[in-house]
Amino acid sequence: MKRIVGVRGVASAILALSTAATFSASVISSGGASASQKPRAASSSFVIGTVNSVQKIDPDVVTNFLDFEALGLIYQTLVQENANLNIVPDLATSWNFSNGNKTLTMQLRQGVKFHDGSTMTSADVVASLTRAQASATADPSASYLGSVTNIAASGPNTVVLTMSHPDISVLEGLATVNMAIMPAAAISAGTIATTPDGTGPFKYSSWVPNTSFTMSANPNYWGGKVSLSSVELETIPTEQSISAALQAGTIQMGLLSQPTVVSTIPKSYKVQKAMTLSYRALQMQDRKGILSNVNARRAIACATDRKQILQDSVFGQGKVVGPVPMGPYASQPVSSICPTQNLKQAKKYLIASGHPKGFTFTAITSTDLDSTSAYQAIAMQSQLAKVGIKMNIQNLAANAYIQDWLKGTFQAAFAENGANPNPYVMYGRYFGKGATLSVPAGYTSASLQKELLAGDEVSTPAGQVKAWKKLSADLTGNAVWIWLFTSYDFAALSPSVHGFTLSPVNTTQLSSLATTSVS
Amino acid sequence: MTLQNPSSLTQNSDGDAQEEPVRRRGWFASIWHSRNGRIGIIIVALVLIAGVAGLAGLTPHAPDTQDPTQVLKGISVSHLFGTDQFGRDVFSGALQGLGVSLEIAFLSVLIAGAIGSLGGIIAGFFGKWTSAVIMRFTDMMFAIPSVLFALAIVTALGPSIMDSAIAIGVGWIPIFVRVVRGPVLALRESDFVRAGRVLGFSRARLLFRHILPSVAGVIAVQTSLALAWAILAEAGLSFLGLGPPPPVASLGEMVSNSSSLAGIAWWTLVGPSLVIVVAVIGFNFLGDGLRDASDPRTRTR
Repeated sequence: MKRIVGVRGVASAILALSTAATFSASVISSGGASASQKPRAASSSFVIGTVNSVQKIDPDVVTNFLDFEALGLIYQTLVQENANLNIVPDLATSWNFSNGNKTLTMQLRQGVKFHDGSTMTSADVVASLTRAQASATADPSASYLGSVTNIAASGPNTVVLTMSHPDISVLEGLATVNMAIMPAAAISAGTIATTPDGTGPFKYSSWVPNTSFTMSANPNYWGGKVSLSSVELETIPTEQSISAALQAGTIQMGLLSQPTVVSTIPKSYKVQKAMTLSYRALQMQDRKGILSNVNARRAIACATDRKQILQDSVFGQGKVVGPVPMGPYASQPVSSICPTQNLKQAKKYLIASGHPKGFTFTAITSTDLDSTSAYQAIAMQSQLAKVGIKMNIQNLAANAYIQDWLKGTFQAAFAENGANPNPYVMYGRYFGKGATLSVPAGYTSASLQKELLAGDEVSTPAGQVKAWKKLSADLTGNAVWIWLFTSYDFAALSPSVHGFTLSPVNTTQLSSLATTSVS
Repeated sequence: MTLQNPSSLTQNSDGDAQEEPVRRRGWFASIWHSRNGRIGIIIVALVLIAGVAGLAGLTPHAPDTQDPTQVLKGISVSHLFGTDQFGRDVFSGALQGLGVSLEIAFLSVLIAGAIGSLGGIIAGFFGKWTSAVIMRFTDMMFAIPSVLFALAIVTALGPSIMDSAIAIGVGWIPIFVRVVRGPVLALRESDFVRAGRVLGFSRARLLFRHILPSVAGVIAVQTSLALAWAILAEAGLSFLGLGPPPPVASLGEMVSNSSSLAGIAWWTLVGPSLVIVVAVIGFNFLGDGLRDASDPRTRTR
């Protein structure tokens, strides 16, 4: 009897051991479910592993970076930003401003076909931009067209945009996927939200929410033959699993953001990195509650050690930034009140806020969207605690986070937002007059609106530098948000992949898939 | 008047019940007598001491103190499990995490044990309609995987210690019901219960003074196994980000956070994983020991 009991005891212990060890085993060796799948049959299909997942497929309403990436391969825009952040032709081959920069005339590329076989004309462009501009669409980038009073066709291949005031930055606004060109017929039929139909190198095939998004090559692509027969964006829960899946051969490329994971990838795999055209920030809802108190926000800004957060989150692989992270108008210093952590100043602001012992607020994160956000939050939580500010952390699933973010139903949110060298393009949609993202921005100021508008209208380089420097100073001086850092994104590639270049523009990082091949 | 319940009765060669002629061990001695029980007691005692120390703040370092000068340091005398990317002491975090896990585990098993045992006793003792209703309800709960059930509850309630305990405990209720109902069905027809009925004992007296003590061993074994499962479930919820939020340390969250560091700082993963494994093994061994102790054939000599 004792022997039987002993065997049972050992057996139950082994069972317990194996169950408990699941946690470590899943991350050390197997790489999760994806890694355990059989290698796919050799073909020119291309699978990309990412922790993120496509959330929406209507290009006019997307806000998630991966949505931009995926739809950026299906849809195209009139112009695009190249790797040097210059505006270059896409569906428009040339353009010119006239009437004191109040009229923009664009010549369209000819012979471009949508995936449904119809030919793109100026009517499609007018319909697309009109849809993006319409308030009913709720396009997060509609502010880019805020100055546009009329969009009209002038012949089958010419489009004219008329603006209420001089606005050359409208061109940069037209480069976002939120301004994608789509068939007028599809807009009329109301099928855009369910069946993507663009002019890009890949056609929409299927979408399984939170699992995969699949595209196939567009045989009629005007840019030339597409080598990859299909591209699948596969959601894999952790970056370690992506690394394991890459090494197991189940994916050909992994999109990564954690240097610690990248460092474990064998040297036989190619790893590309690019400083992303985005920034991490703690967005705050400044209209209500404790965070409506400017001195409370300033206390957070001064208690924050941005450099340490950069170190803790991505092992220093990036740089601390202010509101304008790059380009000729880059914020310098990164904050006008506390460029580095200053606890004494933070305490002074706390006293001025009427909460000398500190206060409590809650910040949301989503590791589904940004795997480093939890690390940012943990690091900042500890820093704020030094002056008595208690920051609760609430980690949300991707869709819940996006919903809360868009509705502004949060106190503070760790966010990764797209950047642009042009501050008006970056912040017009958050803080400008009629800003489409005014709700998640959480802050409205008439003086800020005037500053943005005035900066956009300045035509001299020196005047622009002065205007945008003042904008940075005002944004950080009022601690509207806490700008943190910008970092690198990584693409780990199977040795068989050729011709891919990770773009720094992280809404079009995958654009070179059109010319990528697999040997 | 107190009736003798069957666990203290033995049978003679004719099959007649008679007063136990041999000396009985106490519960602790009985558990200690079995090898598994000894191992279980020792491990669980250590786990409990460590967990209480973690909750009481009796850790070598403050679990949530970040030290930029001590980032990703390996195992040393000062840092028994090394440090993580924030320079926090992993051992201190693991102790606090263990304490939180135990707190949630005990709360959840208290919920499951109290409700489930009561349900099992009622289902076993009362008429078939009462039993049918309770058992069909447990069947419905069994139809939903307990982990999914816990995930759904904690998602709805939000991540906190109490909510995690409720989420885990509710999933274990039907198991207690089933395990307790079986012996009660047999006890309901036993002579000492019939005698109690004849003597006019109330149902409550029969249930709680005579039947409940008879199934205490079964409940104790189940409690120990449930504690092991609850620790795992809590770690699972925390691993998925549904445990108590930072700065409260949690073993599952520590494993999750350290997963990206496994390639360069294995100790951040091994320490918390080891603590989970040891705690679960301990409660499983203790459960085996309890089972032996509650078995009249092995409890007496």
